[in-house]
Amino acid sequence: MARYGMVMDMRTCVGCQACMAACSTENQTPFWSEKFRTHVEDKETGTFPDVRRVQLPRLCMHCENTPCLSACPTGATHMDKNGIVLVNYDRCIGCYACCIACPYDARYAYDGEDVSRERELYGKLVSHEVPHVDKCTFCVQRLNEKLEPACVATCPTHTRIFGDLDDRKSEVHKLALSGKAQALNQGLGTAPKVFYIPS
Amino acid sequence: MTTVFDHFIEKSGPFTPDWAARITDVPAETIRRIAIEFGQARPAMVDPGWMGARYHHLIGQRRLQAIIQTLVGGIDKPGGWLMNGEYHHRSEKAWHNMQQGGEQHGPPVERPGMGFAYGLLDIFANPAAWEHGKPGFSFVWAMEQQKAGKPSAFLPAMADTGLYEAVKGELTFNGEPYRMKALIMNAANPVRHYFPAKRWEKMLSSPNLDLVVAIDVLPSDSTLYADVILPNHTYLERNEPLLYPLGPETGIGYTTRLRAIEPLYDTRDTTDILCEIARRMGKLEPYLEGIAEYAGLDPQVLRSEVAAAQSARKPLNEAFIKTAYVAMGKFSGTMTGRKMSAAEVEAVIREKGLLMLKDAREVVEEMNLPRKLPVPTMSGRLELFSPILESFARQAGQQPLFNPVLGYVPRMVTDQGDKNDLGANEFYFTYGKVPVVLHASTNNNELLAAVTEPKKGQFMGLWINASKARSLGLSNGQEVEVTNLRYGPKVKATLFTTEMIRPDTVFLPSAYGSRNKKLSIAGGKGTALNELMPYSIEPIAASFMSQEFTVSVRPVNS
Repeated sequence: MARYGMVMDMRTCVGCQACMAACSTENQTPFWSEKFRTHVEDKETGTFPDVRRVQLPRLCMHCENTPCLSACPTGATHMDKNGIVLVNYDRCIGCYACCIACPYDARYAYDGEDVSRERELYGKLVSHEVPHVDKCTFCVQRLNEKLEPACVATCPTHTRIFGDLDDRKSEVHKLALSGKAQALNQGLGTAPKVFYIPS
Repeated sequence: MTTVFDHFIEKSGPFTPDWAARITDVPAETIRRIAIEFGQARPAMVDPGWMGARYHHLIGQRRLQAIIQTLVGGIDKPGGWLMNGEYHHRSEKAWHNMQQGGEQHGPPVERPGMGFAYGLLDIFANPAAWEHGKPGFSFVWAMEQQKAGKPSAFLPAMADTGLYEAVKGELTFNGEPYRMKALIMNAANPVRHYFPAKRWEKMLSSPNLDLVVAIDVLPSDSTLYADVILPNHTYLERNEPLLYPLGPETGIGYTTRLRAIEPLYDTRDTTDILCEIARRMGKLEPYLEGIAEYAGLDPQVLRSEVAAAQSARKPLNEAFIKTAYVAMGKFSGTMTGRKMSAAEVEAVIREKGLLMLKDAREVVEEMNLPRKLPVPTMSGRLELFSPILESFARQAGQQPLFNPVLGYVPRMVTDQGDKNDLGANEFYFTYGKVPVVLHASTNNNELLAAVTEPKKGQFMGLWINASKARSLGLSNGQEVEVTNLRYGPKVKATLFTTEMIRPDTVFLPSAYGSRNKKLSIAGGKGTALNELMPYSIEPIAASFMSQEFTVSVRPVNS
């Protein structure tokens, strides 16, 4: 049993968005509707020549005090034994209560048209067979094969550090406890498992 | 007697930090501080960067970088510039040949440094190297221009100089017509990628061009002009015909590309296409001989592999790569003392993706230039003096660009030289890449287009300083007309206002502006960089002067 989490090192993110492309390919997310499980926000502040630019990759925070889970009326949203927040596609009724509850804007609708387009592109290999609310799963299918999430494996600058937060030897554990990394919107009490090292 | 170094110091005298500060906006104190820090590090490193050849004096900048690098002991040393494995190997071979009393130089592909360039001249600029007795069109143009006392280029090895003239029927060589009647574009999109667009549109539409062939995987702005399109394998379906050195890698190793999947459709590798064309022209034998000589393959092995592939009805690119494995097996014997069989070479390439023959540490230690081997210059030393530039000066007359030591070359971005006075609506122009697409080759990919969409402004728009834009009454997302103030062309663009750029400069992402509507995603989107470009080349390598002008930015229909 693990407690999976991620540290996002914003000092190294260059905004290449390879993570978005890798995630879409691995998880068949509806890029054709411009919906993604992960995003990279790009913010600039200041006036030339004193300009700062920050890249903020974001995704589901896999909170421990999970607002989406509380809001879900059917139990479709649940947490597995490794702390990953997942959606059971067959139970989801598409009420979007979870989307409203999520303070991190991490969820979106994988609707009927998206499912049709997915079938056109992926044929027999489709993984989303019914409409549902979708979000990051930390690539649970890859974790089962002892592989890292696709975004982590693809990132060229070691921005995404992933692993078992309870494994004291792991880089993610050390960084999460280093004092350098913080969660977003900590005051909401959601206890996210994704932490950010500011740039 | 004055040494080159003395001369260099004396001539550098007027170009002080205060002088540079006035032009660059970098404070003189900062320049002094960095110069001292750099000079006291042993070694230090100048990162030369990419994409500098957009100004006529870029050669001088590169030479100055090399000179600075040399002065801090940073040549072929960890922490400084490291020569690549290929360069080390060729230098060692040339030195070894000389010591044996033989010719220093082997075939052009084996010569180090500028020797390689001169080796190419011996082929492409040499009428005697060709059955038809005429050199390559770019060199014909250069020679004819020089004869007529007109601006020319000395080493137009990869240039298109003379091509349009040859198509138009205006090029001659020694009084005889030099006509171009057919063109094969292999995985090239000159109408979109080369400068300027208009030149290529006219060239490819010329009634004098009987045949235009495009070898490609997708529709492009150039395939629109092709009489025949030969569909190519995509990169995942493709076998390369040869093994290649590892680029900037300091160690000596080789790699290639092998197909990841079997071809999905009725397409071909370029090798097969060209061999088939040669065969139908009755010229397959001499074509194979030429390739074998150029690439260092055994011609007999190649002929027999090709014959075997033909009778087994297999693609010919496999015959080439098999021959390359044989050659590499023998070569590994000379490099490591252990010959390899072709099968062993192939097995290593398939398993590891590359074959390393000498690792970087060994190379830097044993073949160090100049600590172990002489540098391939005339004196064997690292030279600040350039005999090549001196030869250009002797031929074309003294000018700052051909100063064989280093001299100041005034800017030519405007007719004002070094004066910095831009007009109220006048900007320096730069262009470059964005992370999500490669040139205009992948802009039609649906996934990449989707990933671009949230940042469309910054990835596709014309960057302009936000404060400057406001002062001109311009706003983010506005459609504008960009005019090349020096040469005239105009393009439309969408503004991206940001503080991430200087107020006196605009920046255009270069990967968009495809016009072919068959590109269902990219067709008609963005601004075509090369529609703003002039045809303007510099006189050494005929590089395009693609930023040697200023632009104005106005609302459309203003």
